[in-house]
Amino acid sequence: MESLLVFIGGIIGGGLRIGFTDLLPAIGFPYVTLLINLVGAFILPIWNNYWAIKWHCQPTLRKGIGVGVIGSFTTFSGIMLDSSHLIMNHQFQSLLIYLAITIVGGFLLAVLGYQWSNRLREQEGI
Amino acid sequence: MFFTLIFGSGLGALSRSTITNHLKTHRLGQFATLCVNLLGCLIGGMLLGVNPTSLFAILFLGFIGGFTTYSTFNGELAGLYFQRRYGRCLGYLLVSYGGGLLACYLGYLLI
Repeated sequence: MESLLVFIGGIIGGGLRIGFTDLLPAIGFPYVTLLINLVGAFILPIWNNYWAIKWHCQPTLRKGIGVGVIGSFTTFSGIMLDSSHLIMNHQFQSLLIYLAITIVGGFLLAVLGYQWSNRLREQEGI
Repeated sequence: MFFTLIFGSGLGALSRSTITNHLKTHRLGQFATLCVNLLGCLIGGMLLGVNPTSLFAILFLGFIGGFTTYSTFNGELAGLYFQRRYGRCLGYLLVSYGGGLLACYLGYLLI
């Protein structure tokens, strides 16, 4: 059951990422992957540490959404492929900005996500 | 093409979850996400040298998108930070991004 939910979650998360990437206009800077990754890094700790607990989610559903949907919504290989394209196009300034925001932003948002979810749990006593 | 990509993404998520669950029982769980991400970057680099319109390439592109993860990786970094394991946190960050770029380049060279 867990495998099936993670598989379906992976289809949903990947579908959302690919859909956004296809539908939003390309401007020569991989802002879609960047935004998706930052949103996912912030949401995952809130899901695991707040929503899944608040809504008494079964462990299988918790994994289906956390590991499947959010895990596949964000991508790590995509960062490297985007970087490779920027290198091949000699867009080194864009590369630096992209990697700096990716590296620092994801960490900070994950930390903020945990802290915020902890605060919500304290407020609601869960 | 969209359906091939998202099918690949589902397979990728399932493979990531299977590898992570498997490594956790072998006390290697802390390296699971790193292994998955680096392996995905290696395949990603290989795809840079492949005809991007082939069904095979599209399936694998979808696969590595779902297989690798940025949210879990940053969640683990935050976890190390809260445990005050700052050295390990920084090391994990550097090995992931540096290794990811290297793996991608290596994959590109291999094809």
